[in-house]
Amino acid sequence: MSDVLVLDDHEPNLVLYAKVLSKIAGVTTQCFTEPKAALSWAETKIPVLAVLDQQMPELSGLEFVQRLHAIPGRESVPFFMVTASDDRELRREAMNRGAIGYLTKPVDPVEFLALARNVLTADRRRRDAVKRADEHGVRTRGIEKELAIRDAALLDALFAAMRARDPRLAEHGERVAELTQRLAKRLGVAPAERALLATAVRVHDVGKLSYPDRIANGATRIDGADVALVREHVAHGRAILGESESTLLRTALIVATTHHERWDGNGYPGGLRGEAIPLNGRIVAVADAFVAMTSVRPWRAAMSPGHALATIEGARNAAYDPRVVTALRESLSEGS
Amino acid sequence: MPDKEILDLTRLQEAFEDDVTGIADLLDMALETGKKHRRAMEQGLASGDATAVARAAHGIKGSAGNIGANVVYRLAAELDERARTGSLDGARERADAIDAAYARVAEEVRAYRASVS
Repeated sequence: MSDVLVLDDHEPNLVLYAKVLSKIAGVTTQCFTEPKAALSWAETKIPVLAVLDQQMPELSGLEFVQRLHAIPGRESVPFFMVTASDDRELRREAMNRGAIGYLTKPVDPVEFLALARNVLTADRRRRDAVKRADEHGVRTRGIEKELAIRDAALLDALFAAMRARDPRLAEHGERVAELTQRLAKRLGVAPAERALLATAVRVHDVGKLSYPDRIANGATRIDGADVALVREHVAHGRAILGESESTLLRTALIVATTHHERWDGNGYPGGLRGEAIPLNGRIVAVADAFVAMTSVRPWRAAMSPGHALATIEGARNAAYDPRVVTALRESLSEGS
Repeated sequence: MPDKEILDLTRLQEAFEDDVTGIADLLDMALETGKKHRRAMEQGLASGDATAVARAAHGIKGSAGNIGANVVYRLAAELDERARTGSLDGARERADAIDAAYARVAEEVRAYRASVS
């Protein structure tokens, strides 16, 4: 039910207006002979329309509407005047203050009813539109959430495939993702971006799913003709992740295709140089190298963190972005 | 035949449709309100308070107008306009005329109630 506030200090007028308003379905008329009583009612209820007499002992109709509109949430309650005064100045003032109509007594019930009905119809349409917009917003947010879940599930599936193919490949992905997080935080990467990296970096080597069995399990040192094969994992990564509009998949694609670029431009596949390489790719390049060096391989022991850091620092400005190398050193010395 | 200058029920019938008791009750209520305003007007006349007379006349104008009591409405409107300028010239005569007109409205209301019950 919608409340219509009606204020007139003469009760017979209220009876007449209430009778007219009763012809509109879904409307309850709240009648008041005293402005103060009407204001205290409006402290707890929001009328859809206010119908006001002008000349009353306590407050005029226009003074009343000023106070009504001053109550939070009642700023835009529409109102019209019904008054015995046909004063032109008063009529103009009322309309300038936002009145949607100015009826004079004797009231024409048909005109009164039409005016009230028009206001209520407009108000209902406005509320319906707001409701539809809200529902649309909720649906859109729901779809966005659903899409984000699906993107993450897709990367989870790829990661599970990597683990099934070679547990060490998955373990490496996890460790690189973890170190990337720490470096990215030190380099001031925004939290939302870091959240994407946490999922995306795990699959930076997804292209290695294309390795032949002979080198897949990492049991042998790669050399000779296989070096070219290894380089191809970047292209395979690009093919697997594809061109997507998804922010998460795009992040994964950028990392998968740029983490073998070098600061000096001698990397692959693009030979990009310096800041032409996306920052996420430069960070993963350092994290990838450090994790690889400090991992045991069947043909060699793991390097100590200090030794690995020294090796990477030796290639600062050559292979690696110096800022990222600094972040690695700070991270290792501070243990975070 | 009802005198439409004294009481024209066209508008009330548009508002109340077949609720004739509602119309009769509203008319009685308006007559009571009229008496209240008339008493306030009398006090204003006695004390020479033009503002009080204007306020009472304005009230009568509004409620008489709404029920279709056209003669009362016109007399009250004239008195309202005049008294608002601070003048009570001819106010006593108009107040008496309002009484006479209200008496005829009351007769019409009685006749209306008798005709619908």
